[in-house]
Amino acid sequence: MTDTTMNNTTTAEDKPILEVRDLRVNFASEAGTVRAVRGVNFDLYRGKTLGIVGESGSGKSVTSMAIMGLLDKNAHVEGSIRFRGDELLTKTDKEMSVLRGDRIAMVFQDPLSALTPVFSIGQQLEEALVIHNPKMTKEQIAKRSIELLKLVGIPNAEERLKAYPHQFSGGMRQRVVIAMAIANNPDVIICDEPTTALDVTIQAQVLEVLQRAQQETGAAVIFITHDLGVIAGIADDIIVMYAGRPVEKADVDTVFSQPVMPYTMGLLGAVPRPDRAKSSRLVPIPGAPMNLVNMPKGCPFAPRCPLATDVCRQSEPDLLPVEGREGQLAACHRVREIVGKGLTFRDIYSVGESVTSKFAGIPREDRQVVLDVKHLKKTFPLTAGGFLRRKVGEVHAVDDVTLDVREGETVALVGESGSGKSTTLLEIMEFKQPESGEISVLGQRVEKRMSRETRRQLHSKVQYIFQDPMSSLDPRLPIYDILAEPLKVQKMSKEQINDRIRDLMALVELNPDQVDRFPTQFSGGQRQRIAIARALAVNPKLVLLDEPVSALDVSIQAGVINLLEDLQNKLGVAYLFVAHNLSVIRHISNRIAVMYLGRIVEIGSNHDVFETPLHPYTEALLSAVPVPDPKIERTRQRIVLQGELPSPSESFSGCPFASRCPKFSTLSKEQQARCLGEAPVLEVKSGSADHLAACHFA
Amino acid sequence: MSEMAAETKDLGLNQDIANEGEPTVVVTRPSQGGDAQSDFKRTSRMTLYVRRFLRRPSAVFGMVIFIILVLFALLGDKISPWRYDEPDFTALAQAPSADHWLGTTIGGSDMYAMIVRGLGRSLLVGVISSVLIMIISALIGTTIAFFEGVVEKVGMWLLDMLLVIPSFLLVAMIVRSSSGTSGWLWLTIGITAFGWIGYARVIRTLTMSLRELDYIRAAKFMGVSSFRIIVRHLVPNLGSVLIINTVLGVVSAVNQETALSFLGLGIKAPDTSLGTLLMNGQSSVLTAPWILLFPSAVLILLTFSVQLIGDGLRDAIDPYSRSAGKAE
Repeated sequence: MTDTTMNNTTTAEDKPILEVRDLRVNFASEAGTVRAVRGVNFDLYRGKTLGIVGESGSGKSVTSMAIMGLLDKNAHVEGSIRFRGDELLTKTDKEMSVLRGDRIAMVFQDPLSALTPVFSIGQQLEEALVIHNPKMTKEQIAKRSIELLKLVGIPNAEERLKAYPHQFSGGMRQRVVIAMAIANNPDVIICDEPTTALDVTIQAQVLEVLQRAQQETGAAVIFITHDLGVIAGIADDIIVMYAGRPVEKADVDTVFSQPVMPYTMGLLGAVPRPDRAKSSRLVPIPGAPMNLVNMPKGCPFAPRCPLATDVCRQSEPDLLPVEGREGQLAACHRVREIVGKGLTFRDIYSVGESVTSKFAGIPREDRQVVLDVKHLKKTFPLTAGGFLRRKVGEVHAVDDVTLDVREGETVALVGESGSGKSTTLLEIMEFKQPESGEISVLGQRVEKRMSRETRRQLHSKVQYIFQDPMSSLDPRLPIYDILAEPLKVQKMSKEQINDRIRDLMALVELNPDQVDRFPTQFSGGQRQRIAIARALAVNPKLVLLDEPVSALDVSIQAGVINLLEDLQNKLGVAYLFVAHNLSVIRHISNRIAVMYLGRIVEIGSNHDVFETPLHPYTEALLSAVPVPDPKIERTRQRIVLQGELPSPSESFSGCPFASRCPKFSTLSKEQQARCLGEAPVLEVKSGSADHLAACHFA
Repeated sequence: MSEMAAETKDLGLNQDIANEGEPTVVVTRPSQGGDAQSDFKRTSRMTLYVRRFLRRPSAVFGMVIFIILVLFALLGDKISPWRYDEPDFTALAQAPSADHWLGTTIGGSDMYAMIVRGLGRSLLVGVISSVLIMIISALIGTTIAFFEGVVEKVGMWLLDMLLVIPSFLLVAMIVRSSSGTSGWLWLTIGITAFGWIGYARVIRTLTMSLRELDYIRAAKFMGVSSFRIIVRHLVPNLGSVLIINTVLGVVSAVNQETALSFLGLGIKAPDTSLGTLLMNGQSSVLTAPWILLFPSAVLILLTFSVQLIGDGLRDAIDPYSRSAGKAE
């Protein structure tokens, strides 16, 4: 079997390995038939990467699942998917199993759930190998497993084979998933948002691993993502999907430099750029994605499109070649006009006015300190198994963090996962006396013994916004009760609550009449607005935001960021913002604190940190951010950090970053000894007195 | 005030992101089953459950049987000339006849009246104890899980200890010491008192994953009191599990009642229950088989119908079930 396929590969180089023709997928739902995919066509060639971009519900994942034959039983699939000329749609599940994992492999989004927690990595790799090669011996399996783990860059491969998924970090797990996907040298690798759940530095590594895996296997890759930055660097061709249909198709450069379809332009324009300072407000695409049940006639994007005319509302445009552009296809009635006039994003979408800040013109030093954290420490005990759990060490989740947040400003905490940024937020929010150090909110020190009243007052000053609005709102409560909850804690009367809720709904630009609905009846962006309204209900002075926009679609994200900015300017509330998306941080924050292993390694104003980063870690972090521009992506030199965060349970006498530091290897012996022996302190390094870094040689 | 409301109405009603001037048609997201929009047709959760439940023929069948049985227990004695506690001494152990539709017992009691009464008692005991068990186990299970740490350790230890108690024996002892007419009440209390422990453990496990969810943490961060979090957030979100367990709990409670009564430890004459009837019937199974046959048929019908309802409910409430039908 393997032999024949090997022979085929040499002859089939120029023929597409996968041909998808007029693929349609329908699902049954309570509301009616959901037309999830409505006519997708593409050819996939060996060694090429096809990027499929789209927001949630655009049908990109359903397309990939249809190829894998993994759709739910209530799905109805039409059209044709041919793999090496073989029709896949008529195959039974058993026949597909022969192909799946062997010829067509898949890398899932969430490495946490893609691996079985009860089996070791070795056992799972073995399973992936043995299922398609039953004759492999134990030695061969072990050899191949180690080889695979090394290929995807997992150190100590021999030892790590015995480890269980929970002993790996997210990035490492994703590497294992990739190793399993390429175990049998597949012809097609489908990557469904493979880096969405990962940090930027890890994302850069995983993308590199994927590219290496592609080179190694010569496979064709379908790369599904909503992140235009990622796709700019990795894809050869791009399909932009909207409401189950491809709306634009071209090679990567054309899509990014000369998009034709207004939706593509909107997607490109709505993302903040990590490589440019904030110049203006973001421009969200109005409206929310299409309901795929009972679709009205006409172009599905027409309701959101500023260019829509009556023709657009009457008939749906076909995906046709764009005149004068080679290889570019777009589904839009007004293509000719757009190309002719050379319309761009700025011409089509209107940019709103931002609200001027309440504190505009007041220098930072003169503003009131809202949150003051000094030398905060948080450790978690590590216990060994056995009958009596004994403590074998501790994890320094937050280690000597000092920072202050002043009125009306946004301070961002940046760092890889495990750097302690979320723990810092939680530690502040718990209102418990910290293990060591102190936390003060508006001058009120958080102490062990606080009266119920003081605690209540603290709750009225500090609020929290979670990452995922799907899980932060109780699905069983109507919006009214959700918004009333913090107000009831503050003992407000019924009338006050009523008035306040109406005001809040207006504040976050939602219809106050909708308060009787349940969270599931709102879209992701609307839910996050509700979560914001809930946090602002009690007029807090400080809001802690844990990745507030990362769960949202790109086009929706811009609207929420604008809202957060406007609310800050209007109300003068301070934000302590945790995010892994540096583009968003660059856009929204005033000050940035870069965290590494529970410590702040660099802190300074937005401009200072982005333009003149001092710490090598900051430099690496900034360079890892993908830029939504294929030209920049191709040419720029990226500092890819080797390895992952060291275990936070380790204790360092010197600089904790030394093991991964790109600068470290360029230093002399004595200098290296200093890095390893002496812990750097956060201090002023260069011109700006407000820009501190913890590095001996910054 | 009204001005503001009118202004925001436009904004909010139509779209997620405010976009002045452009009156846009509202669209919804497919995956979340709906969105905020003017022509939005809302399917409430209850209608959804009912619709899904009705899509399952076996569930509907079970429901019909169950309703008939309940009606029978409530109204059955209205059409019979005999009462369960007035034996007909002229007809001892008689086969079914025009006079005694389902025959009589050895003591001359009318089987029909006895079954109506017995079914009523069994249902009463089953339903009350099942509901009580769910309330108690939901509160205790979620509380133990919610507070974590020491509370959870001690709570689980107590639950484990309670599980060791020979409940059957204790229930038997409690009921034995009670008088004839209040026997069913003591039986209910007995079944409840020892029935909740296992369920509480199950619910604690379910709560463990629930307590990590953001909306529970959000409530904590807003300063909502623990009791409110448990009652308003944790218990309602276990709702589907609780409903299913309650329905299926009726079966196990009825079975337990029957078992105890069958052994002569449950409901005693002059009151009667399905179990008591079965016990009486088994001694004369060869000479007067109707005394055993009719109550057992009713018992089987009861447990069977409840089981079907439970299955149907589980599928209707479970969002991942196949009850949505099939795409064309």
